[in-house]
Amino acid sequence: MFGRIKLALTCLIGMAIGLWSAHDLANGGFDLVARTQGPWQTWPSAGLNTMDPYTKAHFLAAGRLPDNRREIVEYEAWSDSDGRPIDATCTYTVQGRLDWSRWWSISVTQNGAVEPRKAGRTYSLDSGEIVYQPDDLARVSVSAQAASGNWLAMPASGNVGLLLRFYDPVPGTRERPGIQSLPQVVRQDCQ
Amino acid sequence: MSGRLFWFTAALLLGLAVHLAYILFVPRQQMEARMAQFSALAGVNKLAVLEPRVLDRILPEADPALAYAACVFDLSPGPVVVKATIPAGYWLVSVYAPNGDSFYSLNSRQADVKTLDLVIRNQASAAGDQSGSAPQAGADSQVTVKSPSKQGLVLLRARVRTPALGPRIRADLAASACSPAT
Repeated sequence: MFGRIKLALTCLIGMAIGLWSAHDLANGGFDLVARTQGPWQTWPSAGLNTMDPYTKAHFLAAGRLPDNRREIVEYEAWSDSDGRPIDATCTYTVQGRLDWSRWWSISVTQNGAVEPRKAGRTYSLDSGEIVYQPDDLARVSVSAQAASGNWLAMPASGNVGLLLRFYDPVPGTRERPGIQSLPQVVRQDCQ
Repeated sequence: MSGRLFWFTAALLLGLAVHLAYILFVPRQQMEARMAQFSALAGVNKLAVLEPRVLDRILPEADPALAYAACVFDLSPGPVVVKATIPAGYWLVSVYAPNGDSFYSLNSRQADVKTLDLVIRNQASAAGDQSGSAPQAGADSQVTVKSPSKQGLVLLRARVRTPALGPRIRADLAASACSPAT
């Protein structure tokens, strides 16, 4: 009887350790498979025939198709530039140079999903829609309330992230993702 | 003490086995589930243009700045051809194996043609073919791609600069077709 309890406990603990560690490494990455730059993270082997199993798990287990970095370089951010998790009750400014590709887009994700565009409330911006600063920097506000200029709507709740995608990247971006300067994610006010 | 060490080691080994099973098998299973969802839309060897609501369900991280069309292919009866009409602006074709590898991709700048026949052959039956290159500029062209697997997924994407252009760009993608090569 006591042996069966020990066996059941061992199985439960073993499965929990296995699932937690796999999920944690596939989501958060580690230095060998993911590259981090400020709040942004990219998975350089995504979509390539040399794609490692953790990168595969990162994309496919979450229902995403990994894109070859020769075509699309993706950066994800789950925290601001000070390392604090992105909070749905706060407003943020994303500002920086983004001319590393033919075009780019920035999206707000909620629990890993991007809401489709809706009239009056957009969760994703195409670089063609962006009004640039005089110094060619892009500045995007992320907030629950509509803001002037380039605005992305903040979801009401959930695990919020940012997704930056560079389409048809310039050679330096696709060959060595992580070398270019990426925008700062700066927290402003919180409710 | 040796009893505790035994159970501790057993839990760690089981944890390692579960970890490896998740990392190695879940991605493929998820990719195959995704392919099954795409093939449920139009069938196998047929192109389906994905409306935003459908896309939201199948690819929740899809970029709203793109229109999508997909073809799940099966090379068992023979090669498959994707006859693509390339719209003005950014366009991308990617071909995926069931394990998630994107083994071929081509964008509109590299293609530099208005229509493209993408012939997908099984690697085993395509020895000697030129594969994976961009077509010759200027003319309508054909490209042969060797697939490492009999099944796979072709994904066509085109940029939608503003939401109002969505229906037009999806109509452009619908002008493409996916079918067994005759």
